[in-house]
Amino acid sequence: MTIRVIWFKEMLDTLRDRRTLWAMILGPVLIMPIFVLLPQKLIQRQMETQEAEVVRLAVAGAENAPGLIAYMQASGEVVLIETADPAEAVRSEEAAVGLVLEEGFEVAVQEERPAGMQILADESELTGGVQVGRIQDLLAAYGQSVVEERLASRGIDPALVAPFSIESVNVATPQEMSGAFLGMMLPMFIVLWALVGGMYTAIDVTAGEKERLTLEPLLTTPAGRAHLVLGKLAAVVTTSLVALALSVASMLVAFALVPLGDVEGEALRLQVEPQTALLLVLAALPVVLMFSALEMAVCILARSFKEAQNYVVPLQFVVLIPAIGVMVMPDLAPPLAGYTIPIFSTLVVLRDLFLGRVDVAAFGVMTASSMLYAALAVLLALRQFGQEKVLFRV
Amino acid sequence: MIEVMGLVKHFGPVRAVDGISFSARDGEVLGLLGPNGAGKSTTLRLLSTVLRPTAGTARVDGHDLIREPAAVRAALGVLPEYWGLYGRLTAREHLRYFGRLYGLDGSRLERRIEEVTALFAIGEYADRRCEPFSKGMKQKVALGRALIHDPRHLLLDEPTAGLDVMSARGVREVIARLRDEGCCLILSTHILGEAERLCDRLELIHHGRIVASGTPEAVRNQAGVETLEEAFVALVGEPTAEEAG
Repeated sequence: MTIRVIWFKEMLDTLRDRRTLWAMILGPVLIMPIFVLLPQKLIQRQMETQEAEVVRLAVAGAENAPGLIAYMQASGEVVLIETADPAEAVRSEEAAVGLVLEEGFEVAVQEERPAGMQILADESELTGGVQVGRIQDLLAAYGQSVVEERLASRGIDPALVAPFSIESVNVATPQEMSGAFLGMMLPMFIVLWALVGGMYTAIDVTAGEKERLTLEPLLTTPAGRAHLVLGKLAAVVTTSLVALALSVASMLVAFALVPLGDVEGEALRLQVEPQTALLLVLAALPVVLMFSALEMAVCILARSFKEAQNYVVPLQFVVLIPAIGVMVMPDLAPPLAGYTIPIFSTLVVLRDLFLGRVDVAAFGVMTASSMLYAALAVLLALRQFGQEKVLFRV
Repeated sequence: MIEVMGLVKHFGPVRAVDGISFSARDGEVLGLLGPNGAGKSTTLRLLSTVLRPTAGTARVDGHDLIREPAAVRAALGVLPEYWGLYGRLTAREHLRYFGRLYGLDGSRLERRIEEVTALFAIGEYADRRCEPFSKGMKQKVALGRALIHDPRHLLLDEPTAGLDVMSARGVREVIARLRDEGCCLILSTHILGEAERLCDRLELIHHGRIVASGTPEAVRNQAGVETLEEAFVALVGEPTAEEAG
């Protein structure tokens, strides 16, 4: 009863605070889709333009291989830039790819001797690979046409040198296709919202009470300190959960609206089942409780809102460090005992839930151990509120 | 009835309260008088159970401070030395929140809120957020909050501090009225005029100890002087280096 009274008042108070509204509602709804989808879209857009664009090709020794050059020009995929120094042209980004054709190339081809050339590319360019690949494909196709001519001149069916044909079929689900990227972003953001969503409320109900001098009047009411802590904790957990649920929901909407790309002309859309979404929120519940209690235990030490912010912001590193660990090892599958590591275990389970490959035992171990840590954090918060030294800094 | 029995509170090496005993009867205003830092506020914070005594105890209507803190808090209405309001809540929401924390509910709570808003003439401000209120308005809300459960015992730490003449007068009227209704009030003050006019009995506190007690008249006689101010100077003496600094 008392707990509900306190929860209700804190919710009323926090919902009238713009800072909470940002952290709880606008942040998750606006920022999540942007952070998750925008980089994906940008990379894709760049790939697409590179696919469509003609490749600027710097060539040295074009006169050595008129046949090849004619073939390249006929393809319509390249713009030739004749230069003595193609390496410099690539470095200065005048050309995307460089080609050096050795003297006597054409003659060697006609005389059926091995002919030499060099492809120059700037491998430090992240997206250069696409254009180099296109030039290599063109060169290979030219090579193939030369071989076919030679075989034809000897009366041999070109099919003889192509004993089988290969067709690659993509069997990965959209989840897995985008998993490498989203599989590392999504868990981090979910856990981050679990932390940030309730942060302002946690500060407001602890250090905020001290700053406004409302703590002492509150302590003179018959409400026990444990009830005060639990009522306030319930409010912090509520705001965190709302932030978390909204961030998951806004992402589902974004996935449904924005295709992640297309495979053979068909739009690729991520489908996250409602059950999966529910499990994502459920799996994050213990860390929500733990973070909320930890934030309160830390913030009650502070005498002012600003001081509390200084204490609580470093908590974000507690999330970011394991999150980066999970990010750089997308295939990381820890042994069952590894699921007792707080935060890290939740990140791994969230990732696997999203990719649809979660292990029930791992989920169980993660939930049980995380609840234990959450309980310890709640005990710590209760202890803090029982101490004169903490409440009054005497 | 509030009985204080040998209360002691140490903050590290500082003996803020150093063995204080007194009692306050129903229908009486007891004043704790003393210079800044004498231990008045600490005594009141011990009585309101916000701080735990190093030694000694007290009883409020027979409820022991240490063994039944919740019962003590339920019996008391408290205005601490430092108090504030929730800026985003209205005056009425403050009264409702504290009323509920004191276990009031439903029509009983709403009726009590009406009584308190009428007592302090908060009426027209009742549904406005407290942030922009004047100091006097805020003090009315804070006092109303302390009285919401109609307590029979009140601890008021400097109840007129920082108020203009009219507001202070209003607060003194409420205090007198509560006394006439049979409440037991303990208030701290360093304003001698207020102590003289408002208090039935005084406990003069200095360095955490009681140095004189009785009616204002008895305190004056004890010091053998005409006015309370002279008695105060005689009993408390010249400020020590610590107090002056």
